[in-house]
Amino acid sequence: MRRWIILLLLALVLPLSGCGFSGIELKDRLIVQAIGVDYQDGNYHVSLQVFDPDDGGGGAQGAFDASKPNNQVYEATGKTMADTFRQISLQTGKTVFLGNNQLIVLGEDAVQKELNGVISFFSGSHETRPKTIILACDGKAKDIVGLQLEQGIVPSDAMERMVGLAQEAGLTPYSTLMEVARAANSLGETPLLAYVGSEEKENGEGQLQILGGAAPIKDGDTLYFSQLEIRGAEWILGEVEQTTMVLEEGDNRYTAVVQPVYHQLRPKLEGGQLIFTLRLDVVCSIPEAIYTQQTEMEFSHIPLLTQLIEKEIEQEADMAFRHAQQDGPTDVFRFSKYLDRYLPEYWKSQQDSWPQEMSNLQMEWDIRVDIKSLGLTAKNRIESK
Amino acid sequence: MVQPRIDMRQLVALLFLSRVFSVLTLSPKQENTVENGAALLGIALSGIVCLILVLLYQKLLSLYPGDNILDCCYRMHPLFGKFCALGFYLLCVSITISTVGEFQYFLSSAIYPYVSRLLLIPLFLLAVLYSAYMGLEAFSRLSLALGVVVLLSTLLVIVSLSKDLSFVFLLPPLRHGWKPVLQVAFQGVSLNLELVPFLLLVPMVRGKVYRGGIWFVALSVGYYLIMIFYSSLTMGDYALSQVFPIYTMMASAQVVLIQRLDSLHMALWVFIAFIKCSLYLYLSAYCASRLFQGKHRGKLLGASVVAVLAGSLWVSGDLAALMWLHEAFVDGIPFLLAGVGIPVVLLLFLSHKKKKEAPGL
Repeated sequence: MRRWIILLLLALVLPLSGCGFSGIELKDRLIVQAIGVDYQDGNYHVSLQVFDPDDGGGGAQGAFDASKPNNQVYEATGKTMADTFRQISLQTGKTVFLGNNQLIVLGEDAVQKELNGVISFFSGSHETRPKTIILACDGKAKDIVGLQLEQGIVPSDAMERMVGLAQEAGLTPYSTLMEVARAANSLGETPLLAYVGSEEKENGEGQLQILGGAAPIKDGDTLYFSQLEIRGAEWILGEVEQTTMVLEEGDNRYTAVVQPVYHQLRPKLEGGQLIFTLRLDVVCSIPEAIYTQQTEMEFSHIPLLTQLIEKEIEQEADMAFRHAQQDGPTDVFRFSKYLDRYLPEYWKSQQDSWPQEMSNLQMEWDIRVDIKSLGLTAKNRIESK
Repeated sequence: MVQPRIDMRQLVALLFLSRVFSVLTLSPKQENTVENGAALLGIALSGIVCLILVLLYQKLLSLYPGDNILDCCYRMHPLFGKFCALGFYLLCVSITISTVGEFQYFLSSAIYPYVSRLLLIPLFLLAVLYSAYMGLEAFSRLSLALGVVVLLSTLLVIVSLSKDLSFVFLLPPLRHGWKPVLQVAFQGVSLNLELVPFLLLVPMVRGKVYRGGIWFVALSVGYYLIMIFYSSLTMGDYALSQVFPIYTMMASAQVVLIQRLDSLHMALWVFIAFIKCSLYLYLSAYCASRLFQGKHRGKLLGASVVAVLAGSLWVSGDLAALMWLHEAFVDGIPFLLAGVGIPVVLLLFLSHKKKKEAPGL
């Protein structure tokens, strides 16, 4: 009896193959690598960059040539997002699979008019990864998704790497589906998206450009931030991992590699005035110094360099804050979360008028710099400050 | 007198896995959503209450070593014993139905949207039936290995998400007073139904069984605390917009080459569901057999699986029924009766009886 039960169970395992009960083979799937969404006249225009080893390279048994683009771009226009995917499925006779998608690129109109709709579609999709990167782009998303970059197996690989490096350096924000959806659904907060564009190289090929950040504000408008303003915002948010700064003092120039080690943002009320204080401790090294008068760096320069870095960070953070405050106002710094956490009574009274109330907000900066090294030469090493 | 069959570590793994089954399907829309600080404190408090209950069980079952709760019920009165055996049987069957229903609902919502429940549930229950038929030792051995893998995979999630923690999302626990904290604590205790299998399994375990109970409570409460802490501090308000936030958190975790840890956790979760259903199906057959002086265990196992199949097909086709069943457990009445009321009554009655039986009195 037991043997028959075992045989029956084994037999029942046979139909449970890898692609699930519906039995969709890999060749019948469109393996999406990047999605572009444009919004015009109330319709969605979706462009899909799809992994296709037969395109350009190819070879026997599904092998592919990494030096070729290995992708196809499909487009469709529809009244809903799902409608556009259905149309692409019908065009190609394949099922759209979003489980491998790395990027969602939103065109200008989509960011301004339909951000929440697009986010809620992808948040509700069981295949889409919560950490898929969302980008806002200058112009149309289909132009970015259609870029044929040759630095990876598929162009979206190269795009993801470029955006990732810029994010680590704080030059563009960490805008994942999860983070953008969180900020969009959070009272008083505005999502900050990585902002990209494209430019033509001398050989006529398109190239991705990291422009900074974009925040959708009221009345269907978007507030754009430059790379330096984004780094300023990232100092406030505490999301810079390691970045390189170029400092100038007279004719002398320095490169500083800066790494934050402590971040604290706290609100306080002083005589009814709301003040946020940013305490930021960074350690840095100065791997490069270009002098006009002398040949090497000296320890006596450290106080001056410390001051320069402090001032530069403060300037960048202040620039980002002023831009968001005066040209928005828009809360891309999670101020509302800090108020809810540390001044709940104040937040309760202001939450309906936030971020308009941000126009009265003041910032105080407490930046502390510790220079650990003046490069790799032994004589320039500082044991302790 | 029942012969010990499993050791303390296997008991801990069995109960722990059975308890953490619900973590992946925890839904903010399903539970009464409270702020994360209050939820964390409430769960910690529920752990303390559960530890006190384990000590209470120790006191009760030490009166007659080798007895489980049903033996104690029969000692009080045979009719009360039969009534309790029927009650525990119904509880075990209901938990199995609820587990299969949740399992099917989650799989068809988050993983295979088009899978037929008529295919999934009978296949799953067939495997569970085989496991329960093989006996407690068989699935307990599997649960120990699986428990270790689950803990390691949880460690992987913790490591991968630690850099994403944002403490600004952590809200003070008492800013809305004690009410939400106590609400969560009550739910935490009432949903800790694994203390009922503990009461039934005590004589079947070798070694320091009550120490095992304490380990089970500490591990399961610790696991819940970690999951809620990480999901709320990595996702913030996004967690509230998700039907299965813990699953979403796992989908967002990635370690080196593994870009989707949710696949790993899904595979483990299927095994966890299998272990939990095996345990409760086995116990339902055990409780039913106590109505017939311990006879007909095999036939009663078959009858139980038919009841579970019918019930789970019904609740999986009717979401309102599944929610109703879940709410019935959240309300706490099943646990208050089986995990608190009956043990307290038995303790009072049997302590008194034992004192009377003591020589020289």
